Amino acid sequence: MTPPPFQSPHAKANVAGTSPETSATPSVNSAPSTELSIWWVGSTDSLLHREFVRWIESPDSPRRPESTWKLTIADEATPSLPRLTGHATDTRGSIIGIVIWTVPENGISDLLKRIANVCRIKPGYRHITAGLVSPAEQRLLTEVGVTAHVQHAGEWPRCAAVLTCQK
Amino acid sequence: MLASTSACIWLIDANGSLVYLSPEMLAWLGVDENVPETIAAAITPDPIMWTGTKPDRGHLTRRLHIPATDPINGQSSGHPAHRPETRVVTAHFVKLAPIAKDSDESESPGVPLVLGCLGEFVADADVPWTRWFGEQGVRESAKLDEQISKFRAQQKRQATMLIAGTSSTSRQFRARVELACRIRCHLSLNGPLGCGAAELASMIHHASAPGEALVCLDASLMDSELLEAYASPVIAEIRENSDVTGTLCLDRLDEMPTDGQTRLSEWLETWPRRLRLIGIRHDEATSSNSMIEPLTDLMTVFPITIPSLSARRDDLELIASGLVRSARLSRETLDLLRSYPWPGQWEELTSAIRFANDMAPGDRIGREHLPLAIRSYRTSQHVSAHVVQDGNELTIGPRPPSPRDFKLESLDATLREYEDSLIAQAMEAADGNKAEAARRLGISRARLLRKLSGDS
Repeated sequence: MTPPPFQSPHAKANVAGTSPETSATPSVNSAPSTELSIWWVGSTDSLLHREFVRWIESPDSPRRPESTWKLTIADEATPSLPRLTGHATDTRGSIIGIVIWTVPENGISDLLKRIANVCRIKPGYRHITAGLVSPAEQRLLTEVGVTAHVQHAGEWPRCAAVLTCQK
Repeated sequence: MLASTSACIWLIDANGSLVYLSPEMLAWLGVDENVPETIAAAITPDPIMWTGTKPDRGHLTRRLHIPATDPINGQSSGHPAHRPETRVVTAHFVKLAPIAKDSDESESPGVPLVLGCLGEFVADADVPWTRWFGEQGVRESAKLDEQISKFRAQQKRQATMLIAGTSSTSRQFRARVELACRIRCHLSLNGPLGCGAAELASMIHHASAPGEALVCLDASLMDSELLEAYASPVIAEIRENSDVTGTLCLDRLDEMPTDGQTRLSEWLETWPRRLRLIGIRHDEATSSNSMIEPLTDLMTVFPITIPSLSARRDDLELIASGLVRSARLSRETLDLLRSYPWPGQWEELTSAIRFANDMAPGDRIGREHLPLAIRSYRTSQHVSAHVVQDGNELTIGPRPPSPRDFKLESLDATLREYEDSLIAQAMEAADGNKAEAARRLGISRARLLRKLSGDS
């Protein structure tokens, strides 16, 4: 049995040269419901992104073979994240999704503002940052609500628990 | 000239293809001249890195992850069991100045080449961040200071509203928090999920130990390896400088994996005064893990219980009014806020107020501006007894029905039941004569027959 696909926009964006917001569309109509939604905010033309997709697709991935994960590339500085449906303001229970923020080369001050804002208005998401930051910057990131930080592309496997562990 | 050097160097052309690898580099990679694609990709910098590289002045330093190779045939080994570790190295890339070439040469003149060479690997802990990122070890330090100050001020405002209130529960709670703000000690914040413990922890930390390094982590995810990695911004500082103090704020501490707890407990034993722990524990913790004894003891040093909002109904008006600031809450909205049980606690209240603020067109927030889950909430009548006091006589009886109690399980079922009873009465009055019964019901005989047979 072929496992459900990891819905990555990576190949589509690269091959067709389309805008990155042409996000994960299941290739088959019978694709099972998405178990984990991941938003990637920032440049995808980097080793961090390629290595992340490779890791998720690989046999070492934390994704169970029968589950479908969806990776959406946010084409804006702040992703458009869905609110919880139903009990709209009660965020207890499970993680709605993961947001991965790439660290800009020039610093984290704007990133910090954006993450804090999303944490405040759209609670329930788990936030990961990826890119080179100093320990002092890392401390500030944890303070605004970042759960995990990936310093370089080889560190993705360390985040397995962050991606899979539900509240 | 390139062949004469004994360094690990390589050249990349404008198309991103490897055009030269020094013999030392080939030996280091463990491959022959046919470099596997995976390795070639790993040692070729992304073109994006060269965009906007004015600050780099044509020079880049990057950490490379070289996939392991099969020592026999030089290919990337596929099976994880037989695969040695991926090698991580630091490499330096320099854009070589284009040299105009003779017109008869095949390559176009002025094609830039990139020279790569291996450098010394530096672990994150050894990186001279202050030299790289400025005096404070952060980039854009002025802007960053401004952002973090804004964020902390906002958290402090929220925490101040969280502890506001005039009820005895709120007063006791506030007194504990104010005391915690004055002393630096291990702290345990206990409360239901979403109770605002993070905001409170931040306020207490910055008030009791201003300027001290703080790392906030979700302890339920922290095994010893992750804890070592993510707590390092505080732990490494404490290790290296004997006068530095730091605080770890661990949410869901009681759900922390045991090996993580053991590591944390070792640190707290090593630096009992310099490392402070703020543990957040939730009443609804479902994990089967229990906390190890040293941590349990530390969490009894200064426990603060965050009361649930349902226990502070009398303070909700004050808190909600403080949260909306510029707008005014209608009487009906306040009644609803008081009667709603707030299962999502503080987070749910702040989200609801924010939502209502956004929805309200003017400066008045009405019931209709609240989220659906809250505005459609109806209080269940738990009181079943009705007490009447007449002088010295107290009568306790069933509660008289009120128009608000009206409720039908199903309108269709009730109507069907009523119709059946009317048909039965008509049939009885007509002595079983269906034509007569139909006349008495004011319907045709055929329709009565259909109803009797169960077809409506």
